[in-house]
Amino acid sequence: MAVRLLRSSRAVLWAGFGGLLAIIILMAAKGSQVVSVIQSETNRLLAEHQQREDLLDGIRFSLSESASDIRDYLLDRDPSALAQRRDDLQKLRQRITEAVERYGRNLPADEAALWAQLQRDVDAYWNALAPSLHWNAETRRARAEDFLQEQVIPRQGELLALTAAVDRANQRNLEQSNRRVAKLFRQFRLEMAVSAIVALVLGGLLALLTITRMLALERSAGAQLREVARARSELQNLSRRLVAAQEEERRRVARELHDEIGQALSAILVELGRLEGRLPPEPQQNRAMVAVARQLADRATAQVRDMALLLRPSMLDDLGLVPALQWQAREVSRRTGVKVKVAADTVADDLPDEYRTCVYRIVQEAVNNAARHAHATTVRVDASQEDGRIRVSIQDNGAGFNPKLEKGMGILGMEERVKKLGGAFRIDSEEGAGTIVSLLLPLSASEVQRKT
Amino acid sequence: MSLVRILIVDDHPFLRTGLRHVLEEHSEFQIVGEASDGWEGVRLAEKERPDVAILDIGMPNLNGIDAAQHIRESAPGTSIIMLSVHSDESYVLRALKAGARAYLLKQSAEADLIAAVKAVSQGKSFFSPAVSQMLLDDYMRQLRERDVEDTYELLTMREREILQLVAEGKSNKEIANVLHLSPYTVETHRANLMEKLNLHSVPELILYAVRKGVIS
Repeated sequence: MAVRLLRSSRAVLWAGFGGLLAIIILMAAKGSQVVSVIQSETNRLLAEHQQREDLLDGIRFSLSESASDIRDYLLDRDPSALAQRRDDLQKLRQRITEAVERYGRNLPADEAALWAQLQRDVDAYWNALAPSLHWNAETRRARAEDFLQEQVIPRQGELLALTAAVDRANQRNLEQSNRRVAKLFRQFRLEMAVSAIVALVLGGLLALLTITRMLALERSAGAQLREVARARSELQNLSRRLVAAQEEERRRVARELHDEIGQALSAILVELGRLEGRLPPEPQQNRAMVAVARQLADRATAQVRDMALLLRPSMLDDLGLVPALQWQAREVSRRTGVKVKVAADTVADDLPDEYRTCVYRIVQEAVNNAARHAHATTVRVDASQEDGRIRVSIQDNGAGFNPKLEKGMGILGMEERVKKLGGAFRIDSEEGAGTIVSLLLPLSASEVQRKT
Repeated sequence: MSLVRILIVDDHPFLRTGLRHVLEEHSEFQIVGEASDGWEGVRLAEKERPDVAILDIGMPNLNGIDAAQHIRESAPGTSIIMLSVHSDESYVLRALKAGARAYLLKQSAEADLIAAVKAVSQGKSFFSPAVSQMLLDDYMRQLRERDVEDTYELLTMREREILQLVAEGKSNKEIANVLHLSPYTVETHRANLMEKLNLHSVPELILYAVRKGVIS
């Protein structure tokens, strides 16, 4: 369930976070583009406006200049300067015409009419002035004043008024452009706001989804963890009960073997002995038969005793832990020739049964492993009891092994027994370096109290 | 020879009957009671004050070792024979510490019973031959394993004599009479030999003597 949830969330989260990121990137790109467009547009408009202003100023200045030049020309008594002045006026006309033409380029539509009129009037102005340039001295003297008063000054005034109108139009144009830019800006701001709201909403939704999914995952992971823990504790419980049940069963069978079969065999042996004593020497056959029966019963007794001891050594119950450990050491020495030394002077004989059994079984397993699998020649068992704790170590000089790789049922069983009593268990071994099995059992509080 | 009064304590009725029959074949023995567990045995011993109590080492409720300790206190005149299927020294030593004078294997009870009863009624010790053999074997093996010298070689002739007499259950005074020595001299020898053998109690001394084959 968690895996499916994880997989379905993954696609949604990828898409969601991807989308959010895309919106933000687009917003940034668009913003930067719009700002740069607005900026360049504004710059262009300002530059154009300034250029026109300059041109208009130039035209106005040139017109004033032309008027004073005409007057000077007409009123000048020095004929030698006339050609020069005519030339100057010609140049002025050309400058003004060029400026007007330049002004006409890239002109907005609403200014075109005014400009056309300006162009026409400028031409008319010059055309009106043109004849006066060819007048002789008398004509100039006679008509100059009138001409200036009637033609030049009013026309120049009209032209100046016209340029002022053009200037106003230009000003209006700039204001219009400014309004356009401002509108563009407002629109952009609106777009930005909408994008931001969309991103915010999407982000919020994503966050909500993420949190929901995370919580769901957490819940499901927690449930799984609890399930695993429960299963593990159940398993542990079961294995402990198994160990306890096995021990109890062994004890029961051992007692049965010893009490019922063993005792019956002992009684049979006694009766056979008595029978043997009563039989007359002849016939010898009868005595031989009784002897065979005795041998059989003898062997069966030994077998039953060994079996019972193997299942559950009666010393553990009759004499306590240390005598049982010493008996075990002698038994292993008798059977295998391995030297087993037990040092356990400080351990009490009347430990609770579960502690006795635990230590005994672990020592039994470890010593048997050392003799049987590790081919050790000496084994040392050290046990001590102090400060409410029992410490046991079993050290051999055998082949050793890698405890991480080889962990048989025997070792698991040892661990299980120690865990059941809340103790610590470890195996130190290395190939070719022997093995040390050690355990530490805390005596329960009630047990420590009982001792003191 | 005077009548020997005997108490049999064993939880198994067939074996009890068998032992009774073996003993009844000898007129100098008298069975004064039978008990099927430790507590009953202790009660009967206190009441009957038998010369000899035969105790099974493994019994329900109160085992033979604990019963022996009780009987030694409540009926000090009673000599105890321990019956067991185990020949291991941990049982033997514990039985001796509990006050048993004889240790009998059930497997050979019929053959050894009479000798054991006779021995303890005369104040001597008795061990089934299989037990003596086992103790001796274990002892020799341990000597070999540890590669140490047999401490018995360190004892003087006098100390060996005294070791045997102590193990047989004799008091310092009795030993002094037998060897024509003063009780103080006997005590000195006894302390020396215990030190040499690293023994700390009479049961350990008896066990040692059995191991060495000094007594049977």
